[in-house]
Amino acid sequence: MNKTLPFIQLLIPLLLAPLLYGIINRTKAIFAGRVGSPLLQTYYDLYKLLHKNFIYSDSSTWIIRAGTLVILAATIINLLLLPLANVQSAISFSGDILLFVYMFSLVRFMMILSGMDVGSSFEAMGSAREGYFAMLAEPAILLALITLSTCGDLQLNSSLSVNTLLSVLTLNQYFTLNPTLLILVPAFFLILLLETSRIPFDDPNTHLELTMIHEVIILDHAGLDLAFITYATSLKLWIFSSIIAHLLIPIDIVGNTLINILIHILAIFIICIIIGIVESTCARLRLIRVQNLILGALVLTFISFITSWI
Amino acid sequence: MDINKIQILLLLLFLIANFPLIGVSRTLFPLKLFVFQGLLLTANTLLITLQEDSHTPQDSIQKFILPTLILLAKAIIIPYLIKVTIVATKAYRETRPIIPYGTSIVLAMLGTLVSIFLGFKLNSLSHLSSHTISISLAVIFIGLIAIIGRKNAVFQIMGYMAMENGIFLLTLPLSHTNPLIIDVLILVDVLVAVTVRKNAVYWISKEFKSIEVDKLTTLKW
Repeated sequence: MNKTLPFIQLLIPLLLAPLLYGIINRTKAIFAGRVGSPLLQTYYDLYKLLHKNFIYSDSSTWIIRAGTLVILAATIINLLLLPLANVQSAISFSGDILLFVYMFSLVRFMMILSGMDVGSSFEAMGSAREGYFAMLAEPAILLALITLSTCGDLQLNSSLSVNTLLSVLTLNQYFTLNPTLLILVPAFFLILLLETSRIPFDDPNTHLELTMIHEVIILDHAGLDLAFITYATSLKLWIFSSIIAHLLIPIDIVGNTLINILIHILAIFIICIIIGIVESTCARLRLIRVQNLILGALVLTFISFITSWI
Repeated sequence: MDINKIQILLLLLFLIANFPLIGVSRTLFPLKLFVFQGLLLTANTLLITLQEDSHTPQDSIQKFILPTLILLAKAIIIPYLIKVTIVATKAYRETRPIIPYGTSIVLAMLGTLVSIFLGFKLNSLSHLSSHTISISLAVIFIGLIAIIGRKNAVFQIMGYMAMENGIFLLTLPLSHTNPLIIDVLILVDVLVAVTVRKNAVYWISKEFKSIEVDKLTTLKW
């Protein structure tokens, strides 16, 4: 663990996270035979939104105003708990995976509340969907993180903090074909697609009332609020891709910290390309089928959990 | 590479491939996974038989007889028979299962948990490894849920086959103590059972225009 580079584990995600949407959209464009929007499109959008005013519905209260700030703040707290390659996380204490999981729950809770706050039945419908799917996904995330503690050295892992969980994996685990790890990676990928509302679960481009989940909740956010929420969602995408990158590539693959970080970022970009490929080749699930796929993710995490016993 | 680790991985894939049987409404997708399960069982059998040491050249030929037969029966002939049934009766979808998909998946997870504990208990009684026992019991349980929870007769055949796969997995480590003829007889037995079921389902669908099993109560008089 290298401590000579303070804040780099915070700065790099804060700067690069919006780029991930650009990569996903470019991959989808290439698959569809289009040129596609520029890679930096999300940055331009954010810049444009930051210059706009607040507009709030007459029926809304302080909740929608506070909601946006809480969502961004909670996501950044989660970023503080996350290591970047072999740079240790800024904050780490025993049992912080609970904080990690429930900060995301707080994000979702505020999202649901601010969706219902504007008083539109349309957004309340989206909030209900979000709440229902989140209820099924939450045990999967928690179980997946706890399962991670059984990979690697048990003594090191007993602190159950995100930092140690992600940093004890070594190359040896892959050479011995650790079954827990091999099943956990697809499970985490399903969780990533669900949490960042990507295609098999939710289409980020759709604005059709029957199918929206995430998009419908933020329909009444405008200007600065929308910028904050878009940014927080891109940070969430970074956090989950970073977890998978940590699972796939051991943190200290070469001695040099800088090269480790570069490899890690490259892995995150490749994961985004894979998300783009999945989005171009899969159809979005019918809404009543979404719960089955979430249960599938739960089954995968459950099986990897029991693998650590047998 | 540890042979034991590879075996655990094969068994886990085998268990995962069984879950769509109770969580999916289409019939052709579990059938494809059923072929995959046949391949996994073949690989698992090969792993077990290759570990035994052979004394005569005849022994080393015999090692490959059982895997080949499993490949033929479980990955080619039985899936083909089920596919013929599905096409003939147009049973591509289950419309309304008795136990809903979500509930049956949760039930299956509970069943897997129970089988893990049973595996630990039974492990002390026999020379079988605990993971083989637990995973085969879990697969038997999933097959049972598919038989109880579905109305579609094709799913019941597949549930029966899943149960049979589980039982087969449980008896596989004993194969070196058994003569080969017993394993072959079991395979032939299963093959005949599936053929009979296929014909029964086909004629039921011709007679009743449906293969939902609760319609069969009208057979009583």
